Amino acid sequence: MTAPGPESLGMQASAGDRATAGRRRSRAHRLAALVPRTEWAYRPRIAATAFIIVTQVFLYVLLWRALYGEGDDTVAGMDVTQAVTYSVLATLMGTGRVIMEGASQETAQSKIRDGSVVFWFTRPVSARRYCAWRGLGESLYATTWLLSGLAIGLATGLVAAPPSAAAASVATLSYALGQGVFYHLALLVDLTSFWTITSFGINRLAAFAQTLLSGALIPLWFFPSWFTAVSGHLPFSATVHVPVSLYTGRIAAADAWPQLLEQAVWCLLLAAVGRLVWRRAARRLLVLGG
Amino acid sequence: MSAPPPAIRVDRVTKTFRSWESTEGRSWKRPFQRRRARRTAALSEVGMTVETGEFIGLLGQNGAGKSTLIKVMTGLLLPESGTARLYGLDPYADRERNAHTMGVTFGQRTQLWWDLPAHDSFTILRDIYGLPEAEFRATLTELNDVLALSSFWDTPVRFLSLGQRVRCDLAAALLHRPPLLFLDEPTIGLDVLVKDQVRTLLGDLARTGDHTIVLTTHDMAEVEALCRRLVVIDAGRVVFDGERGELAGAAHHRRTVVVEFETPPGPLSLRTAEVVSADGTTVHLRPHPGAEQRQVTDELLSAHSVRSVVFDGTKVEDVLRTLYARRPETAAAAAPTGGPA
Repeated sequence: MTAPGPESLGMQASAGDRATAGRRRSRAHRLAALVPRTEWAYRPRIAATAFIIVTQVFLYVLLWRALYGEGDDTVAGMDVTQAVTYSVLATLMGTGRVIMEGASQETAQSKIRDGSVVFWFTRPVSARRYCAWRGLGESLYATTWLLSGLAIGLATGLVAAPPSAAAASVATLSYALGQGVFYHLALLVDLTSFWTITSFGINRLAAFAQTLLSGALIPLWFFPSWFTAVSGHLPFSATVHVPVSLYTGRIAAADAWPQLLEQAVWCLLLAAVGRLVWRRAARRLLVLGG
Repeated sequence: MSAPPPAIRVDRVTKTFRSWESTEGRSWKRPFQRRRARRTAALSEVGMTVETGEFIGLLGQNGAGKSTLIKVMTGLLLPESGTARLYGLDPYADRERNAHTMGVTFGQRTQLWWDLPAHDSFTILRDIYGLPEAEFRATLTELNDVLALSSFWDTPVRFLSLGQRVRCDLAAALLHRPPLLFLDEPTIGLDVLVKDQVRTLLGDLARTGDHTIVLTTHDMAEVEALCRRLVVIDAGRVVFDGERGELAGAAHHRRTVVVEFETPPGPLSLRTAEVVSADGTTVHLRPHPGAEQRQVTDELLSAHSVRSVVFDGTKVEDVLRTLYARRPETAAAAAPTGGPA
C-alpha cells in the first residue's frame, strides 16, 4: 500500500456538467437481478427450499389421498386430482418470496434498523422504483421455482394439466395479476416499519393471514362457505387461490372475468395506497438514528 | 449572466424533532396512554454558504446537530423553515437530480449489498447511476490505486473487516464522480493506516479544485490536515464559521506557554508575555497579543536557563473545548436530549 501523490488520482468531478449527465442512462431494470443473485450467493438455502417443497408436496399428496379415499367423489367441488394439483401449485407459489419471508437484508425493516435506508433516498433511482425492480426480479425468481416444479409435477403425474387452453391462459393472466397484488401487499407490510421501526408483530400477522387466506395452506374451497365467500374477496386470495382455481378448472374459464377484474382492482388499489405510503415514508424518514 | 450558484447554500434552516415523554413505571396501561409530545430544536436558524472547491470541516459535539444539518443538505430531511440549495437546486424536491452531483457516506452505515461481493455493489451502482462502462472502469481503477480494494472486493461484504468495508463504501460514494461530497464521520473506528489512505484520497480530491467537500469528524488531526475552513455547530446553532486559524481568536482563547526552568526563576517580568502561574521550576505564560512564538522564546532564552518551552493550546481541540464550555444556559436547555443527533 503506497501513498500515491495527487497526480495518481486525477479524479475530475464530472456529474456537474450537463453533457455527462446526458450520457448517463439509468439501467435500473438490472436491479431485477438482485434477488436471484443474492439467492445464488446462498446456494445452501436454495437446496433447503427444494427440500422443503418436496417434503410439503409429499405430505399434501398423502393427506388428500387419505382423506378422499378410493372413490371418485368430489369434495367442495374438487376431486382428488384437483385437490392435489391445487396444493402442489399453492406450495410452489409460496416459495422464492425471499423479501416476504424476511430472508433478505433488503427489506425496509432491516434497512431501517441498521440505518442504511438513507441510501435508498440518496440515489438517482427513487426508493419506490428501486423496490419495484427488485420486486419484479423476486417475482421472476419465484416464477422459475413454480415453472420448474410444475414441469416436474406434470412429468411425474402428480399435477394434472389444465382442462383447456382457455383455462391455461386465464390462469397465466391471473397469476401475473396475483404477483402484482402479492408485491404490493408485501411492500405495504414492509413499509409499516417506517412508523413502527420493528414490525415483527405485523409481519407475523401478515404472513399468517397470507398463508391462511390465500389458500396456500388449505384450499379455500374446503372452508365453510361463508369463509370461502369472505376470503374470496380479500386481496390474499388473489395471490394464490384464484390463479390455482382457474388452473385446476374449479373456477371455469368462462367465469374467469369477474375474478380477473377483482384481481386487477386490488392490484391498482394497493399500488395507489403503496404510492401514498411511499410518499409519507419518505417524509417521515430518518428521524431515526443520528 | 449571473454568477453560478454556490455548491451549497443553507439559509436560516430550522428543524425541530418531536419526542415523546415517557411515562413513569411499566404500567400495563402504558401503550394506551397518550404521551406528551415535546419539541426539541436540532437546528435553529442555521446558515452557511460553501463555494465550489472548498473543503470544510463541520464540527460539533455529539447531538449538536451536525448529522441533522447533513441530512437537510443531502435532501433526506425537509427543514421546517429556511432553505437549502445544492448548486441552486432544492435537495429535497430535486432529490433524484441532485443524486448525480453528490456522494455521501454516513459513518458506520453501509450502502453496499451485504450478501454480495463488494465488486457487485459497484456494478449495481454503475447501473443505478447509469455510468458508461469505460468511465466506470476508469474510476474504479483510480479508486483502487489509492484505496487498494482489489485484494478483497470479491469477498461478500458481510465478511469484510471494518476498514475494508469503509474503503469500499467511500469508493461507492465516489464512483459516479460527484463534485459534491458529504462525508459524515468517514474514518470512525479505523486504524491509522486506513485513516491515512482515506486522508490521502480526500486530500487528492481537494487538490483537483473542483470538489466541494463537507466533512464531519471528531478526529482533530484530520481536520487540521485537511480542512481550511471550519464550521462549528453547538446546540443547533453555528457558533463559528471561518478559517481554521481564526478559530483560536473566536474562542478568546490565547495560547499558553509552559516553560520549564533549570532552577526556580523567582518573580518574572517579561515584555512579551504575562505570567499566569508559577510553581517551582514550571511557569505558565500567556503571550501578549501580537507577540510571536520566536519573540517569546528569544526573551526567555536570553535571560534564563530553560529546560523546555512548550507552546500549548494551539490545537483545534482545545479551542473547541473552550467553545463548548461557553455554551449559554438557554442553549443548553434547548439542546436535544436523547433525540436524534
